[in-house]
Amino acid sequence: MKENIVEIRDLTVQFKKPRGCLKAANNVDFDLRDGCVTALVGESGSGKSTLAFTLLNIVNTSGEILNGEVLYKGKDILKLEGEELRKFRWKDISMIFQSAQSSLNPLMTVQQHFWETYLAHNPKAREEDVIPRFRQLLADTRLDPDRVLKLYPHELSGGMKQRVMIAFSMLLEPRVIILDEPTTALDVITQDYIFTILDNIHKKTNITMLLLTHDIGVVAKVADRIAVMYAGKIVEVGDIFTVFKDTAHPYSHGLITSAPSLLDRDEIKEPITGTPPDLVELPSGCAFHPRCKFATEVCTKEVPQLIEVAEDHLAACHHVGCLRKEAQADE
Amino acid sequence: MSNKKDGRGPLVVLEDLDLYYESKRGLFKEPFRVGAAVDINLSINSGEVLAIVGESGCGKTTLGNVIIGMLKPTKGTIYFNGQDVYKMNKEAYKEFRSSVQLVQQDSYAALNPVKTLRSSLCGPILHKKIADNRKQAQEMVHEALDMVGISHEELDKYPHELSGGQRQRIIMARAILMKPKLIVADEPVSMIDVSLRISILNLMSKLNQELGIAFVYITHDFGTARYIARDGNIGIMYLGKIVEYGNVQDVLEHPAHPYLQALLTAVPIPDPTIAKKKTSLPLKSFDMPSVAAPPPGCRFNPRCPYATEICEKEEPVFTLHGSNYCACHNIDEIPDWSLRKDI
Repeated sequence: MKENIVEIRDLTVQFKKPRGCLKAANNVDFDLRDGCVTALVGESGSGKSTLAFTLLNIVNTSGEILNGEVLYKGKDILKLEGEELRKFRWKDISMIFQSAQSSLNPLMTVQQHFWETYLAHNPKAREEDVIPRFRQLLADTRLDPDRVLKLYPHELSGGMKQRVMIAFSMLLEPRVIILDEPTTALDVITQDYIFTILDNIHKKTNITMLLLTHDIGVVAKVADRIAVMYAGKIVEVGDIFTVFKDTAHPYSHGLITSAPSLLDRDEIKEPITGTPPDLVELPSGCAFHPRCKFATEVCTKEVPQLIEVAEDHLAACHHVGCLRKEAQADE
Repeated sequence: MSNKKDGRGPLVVLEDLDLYYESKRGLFKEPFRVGAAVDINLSINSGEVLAIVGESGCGKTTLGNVIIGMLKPTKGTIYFNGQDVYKMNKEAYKEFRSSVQLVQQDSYAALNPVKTLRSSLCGPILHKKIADNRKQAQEMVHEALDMVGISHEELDKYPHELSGGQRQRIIMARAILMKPKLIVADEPVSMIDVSLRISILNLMSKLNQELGIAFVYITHDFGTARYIARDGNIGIMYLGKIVEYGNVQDVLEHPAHPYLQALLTAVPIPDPTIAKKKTSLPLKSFDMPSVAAPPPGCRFNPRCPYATEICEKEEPVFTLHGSNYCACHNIDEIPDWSLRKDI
């Protein structure tokens, strides 16, 4: 088994709202394995972006971290300050944000973006020395360096901007890269192309990736490991094949089976009933119990803990065996 | 499912239809024209589900707006129940406008934020005299809410107090109150939480089957298109043109057009064992040309791996190939490909 490069321990992040406190991460334990592509799946508002933001220590501005630690190679990121934090960001962990459009400065060319960031981390560098590196990074994402380096963001298409962002995120050779819904605004062909590029980068550098998405199809294609998040908690984690084949949590099961696929035969899919919970007024006990068909009294009272259901497969449910029993009954 | 309700022929027919967006470039210059929907021939039967699939910028939303009469085509004719929509008398036109309803992508933008749902729902049926008085309107609204699965207490709320899924149901209710024969649903689930998408799609199927309403489902997502259309038809659009059309199962099992084959290769399948067997995209270029300056000849030729000389010169004609209609010059040379065989 590979080592953990990032370990999140008992993390709680809260945002103060006029209506009350919103817990976007609620006593979360979560690991990133070195060199693996981990997909963090959840609906909008499940807290996946907040969790990812803690890896760069950028939640502080609007939320507060109540407890917990985020360890990167054993060092607590949340304790970094000032110069140390500035050097850590982008050099060790970089991030591709959801909308590439708004991540690029409209008044700067691609080359200026690269150079500004490079200079901030290497104050003694000379621009002409590093341009070959910029060109190589752009070529790795299959962009034409001669043309693209001189362009402004508005001259690039959506897919090109996303590729520039990928090249940009690799600039300081980070060990971990966070991809926050990197392809939501893009078409399927561009999406497929972006993931091919990311796959090549992954093979070449063995970088650790954290992919945030709600698209089960993308997860199945790209990820080695999957973590499912619901209402600020991780409800299931494991190897991608194990989780898809032997899903333990009813919510992950609903997400996986309700994704319409091209290969389905005519069948009516069963939706997950109810609506996502309000994070300010979470249901008691297991947050999923109002929508769960297996819920019993214990689910309304006790919060289930993440427990090992099989080797390298964790789930937080009081009735982990129910889905397996149901599957056996169907056969 | 099609033609179950009447034998009078198709409900809506689009014939040789073009829609160009024009922008003026000064007094004497020719205006700049963008062909968002060109050479469209389609017919929609009563009770049918037709899926229109394409990438962003292919003109699918424009086509939807043409079908509901919101955009007037530059050329060509739309028939509703056999009558030309732009030549019919006022009464018939009014009937056409209420018989064809639109459900948009952004449910928040489609509802007036300062009106309660009650007034948003009662208003149109009172105005159109579908209901004679408030009491009757109320009853009809309650009935529609039962149909879409929203409780009556929600009626006095404002749009922002509902979730995206609930708002989309309200919009469906507002559409069915007009007693429509056709609903054009433009990406109705793309802004809804994944766990709720299937329930909205199931609702659309229910409206289709129980009320016999025909649907035009506009999307970029093949999975949901296949799910909702079942045994209906599908049209694939590329740069303003329909490149392939036919029964959903036939088209998706045996895609004929190289563009559709490429698209289907790129669709992620929610099963890791299948999805990880990566096949490379059969395309020469990954960037879509601008719809404002489409390439001459076949619009797909610069990206097509099978393109020959003729593709750069002549536009292909839409012809029947096997069970699907397809616009491609080299259709007979293109190898058979199917997703199922590929995996």
